[in-house]
Amino acid sequence: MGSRMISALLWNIILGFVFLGVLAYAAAAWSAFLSARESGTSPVAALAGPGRETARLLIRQRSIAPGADALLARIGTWLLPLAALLAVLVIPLGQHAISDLSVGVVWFNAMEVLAWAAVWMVGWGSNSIWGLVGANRFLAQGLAYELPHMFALITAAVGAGSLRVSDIAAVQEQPGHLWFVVYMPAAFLVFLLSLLGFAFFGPFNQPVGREIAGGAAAGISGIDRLLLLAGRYLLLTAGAAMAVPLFLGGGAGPLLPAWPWVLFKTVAVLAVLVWIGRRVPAVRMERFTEISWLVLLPLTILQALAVSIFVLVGWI
Amino acid sequence: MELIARLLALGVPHPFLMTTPGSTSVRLAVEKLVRERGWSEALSPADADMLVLCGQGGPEFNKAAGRVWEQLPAPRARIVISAAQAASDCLDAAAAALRDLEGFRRLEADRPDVAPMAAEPMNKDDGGGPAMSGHADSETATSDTGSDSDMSGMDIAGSESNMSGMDMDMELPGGRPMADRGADRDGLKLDQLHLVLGPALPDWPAGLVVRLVLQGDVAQCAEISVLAGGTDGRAISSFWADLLGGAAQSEQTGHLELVSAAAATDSLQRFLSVAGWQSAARTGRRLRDGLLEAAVTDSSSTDTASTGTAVTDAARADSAARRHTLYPQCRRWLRTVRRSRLLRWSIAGLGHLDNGVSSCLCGDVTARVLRWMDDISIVLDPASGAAGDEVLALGRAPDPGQSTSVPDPGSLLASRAATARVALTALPQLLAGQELAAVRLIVASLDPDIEALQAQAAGLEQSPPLSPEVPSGQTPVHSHGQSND
Repeated sequence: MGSRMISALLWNIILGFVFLGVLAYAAAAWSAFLSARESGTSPVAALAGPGRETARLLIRQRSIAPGADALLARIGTWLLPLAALLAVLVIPLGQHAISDLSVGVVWFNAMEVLAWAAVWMVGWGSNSIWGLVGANRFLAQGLAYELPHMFALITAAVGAGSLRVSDIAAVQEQPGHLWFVVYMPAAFLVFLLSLLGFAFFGPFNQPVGREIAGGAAAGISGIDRLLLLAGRYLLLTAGAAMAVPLFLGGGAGPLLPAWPWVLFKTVAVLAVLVWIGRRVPAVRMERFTEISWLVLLPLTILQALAVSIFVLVGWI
Repeated sequence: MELIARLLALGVPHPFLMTTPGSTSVRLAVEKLVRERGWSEALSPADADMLVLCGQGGPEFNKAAGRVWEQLPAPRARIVISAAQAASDCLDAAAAALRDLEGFRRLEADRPDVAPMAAEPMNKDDGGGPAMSGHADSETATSDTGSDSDMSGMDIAGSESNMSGMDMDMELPGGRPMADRGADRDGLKLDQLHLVLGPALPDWPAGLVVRLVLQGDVAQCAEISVLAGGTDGRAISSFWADLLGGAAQSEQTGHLELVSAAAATDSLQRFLSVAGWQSAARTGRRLRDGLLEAAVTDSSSTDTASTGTAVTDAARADSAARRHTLYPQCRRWLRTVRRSRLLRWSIAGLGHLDNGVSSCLCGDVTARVLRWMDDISIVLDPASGAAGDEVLALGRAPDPGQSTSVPDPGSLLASRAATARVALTALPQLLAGQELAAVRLIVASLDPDIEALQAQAAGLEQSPPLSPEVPSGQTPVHSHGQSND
């Protein structure tokens, strides 16, 4: 009995990670597709781009700068994909998550904050000025997006009266209930924004920005670089997947069972994120922080207040 | 073995470009080929497997290139491309070398240090721009900021002795001195970081070197210098000034504007890259190639027009067809960039230059970027030239409406050189007190044409154009040094 449960759990984990990996690859390929279209080269051929880049990085020499803290940097590069994998543990694919923690929302948040440590360790550990600048940019970015992000998460939890992610999804699936995105649009938008933030993607990619020669990634090559780049897409995917149970009704949808709906919604969120990420220039943190603290933070607090009132009145 | 060879064959090369002043034509050719082949440009030596040197540089440049080369992880290849026509073949050869597994085995066996970066602390130091100068490499207090000990790199032997001296004191990461502290503008003592931007930095004007003293990521002071271009006896020529000059001579209407639009697109795509808008920058690069090609075809078709061959009609029809597809794309791209509120918000109020300086550069970063856009849109919609008239009057070329005289190539070169000189003179003041991101944006918005500066200087010094003594080594042009506030 016990061994059957364990093997079932293992299968769940493998299945979850495979889904995550496939979606992350799809996001990277979609991004390469759009880039190739802009460059005027064959977009279809670019779909294999991330795979070829993986092959290239697998056999490249790892570079170590003099005085670099290689161990620290490598822990950082491993930590990033690991954080994404740990984050998806609590996201239900269909009805059940791999590990449906009673504090799933908090767990997700904690895992996503691991990215701060990871990127900072990579940047500092690689002993390069660009790495250092990039790493500290990420911390500044974290300070800007994290509080509004946490209020956005809490708002969803308040709406459902539970920190368990599957509970939050279940509340939205009940008859007579709308998806949370309807009750809390501001929280949803802030969540998407901070999702780009913690995956340092699109307009928030300054920690690995081109103008600082790749920033946190400037000094690393080979497998380390592969882990960092892959970890970034995995984080983005995990975040997109989390948006589904929190705001988009989880597995709710007509005809199909729950899991295809979750997948479909995740893909949609991911595609929109990657697309939006290319429509806008980079956001400079020293300017964004002001908006984040003076506009987004009060906005999310008001949103949380509104949702609390909805719950008290009994609308949710 | 078999697997490694297969993986090697799968990889797409990531070239790292370094351009000497005087080699813009090579850079443009290489960038075009890299784009067309779907390669992706490396941002730092660690990501690169191919070091592409556009043009033969002077000793300073070669030293920097050497340091970058040492930081390239294996497998790697290095090529020098001296002429735009040779670019394609050179890149082919380098790509082939990158797949030659046996060749690497032989090379690595000969290589003294298998982990090059660890064994050679020196190579990190400074100069190489993105060349990962370690954060521990800062050293020195405010007092000797300008001295070469911190910047070492420029003088390998000197810094070597410096290093060993430091080693004796205590164990330091990589045998490098720790950051020292200096007073910052708020009266605090903060760590100082010495950062050299250029010559090996993506989206950076060729030949420009900016030495920054950073506290946090705020530049306390900036020192500007310029690398000498081609020292192989050739006089430096300015690609854009020559092309503009040629266009000014041609009778074809709008040719000058076309070339100037191509030049503006080049600057604009680079600026967009620096502003972190990769997507728009990539499109810009593609369109720049298109505009440039159109401009070059134009000039060759007018050349042949005098001989009256039938080829010209075909060529003209061809270029007309190309414009038919190219211009709408340019318009769409310009509209997107122009309308981006986020871009304006993020660059607003940076790098303001007074009106007195130079009409071509006055205003802030936004104003200069808008001026490029006007330069481009005047080609796309000649009818809307009203806004553009002013632009043309601002130094690139005389206003065709007011003075019908054809601008001669010499004056075009002189005006570009003057603009570059003004930019270099203004830079130290502009950069002091700015964040690193703002520093990059300001430099990108000025985009000084160092080539034109050096071509003009060479022309002035030796009125009969060719003469061996091209300034070699580092020529500190207008280095107003520490404008520390």
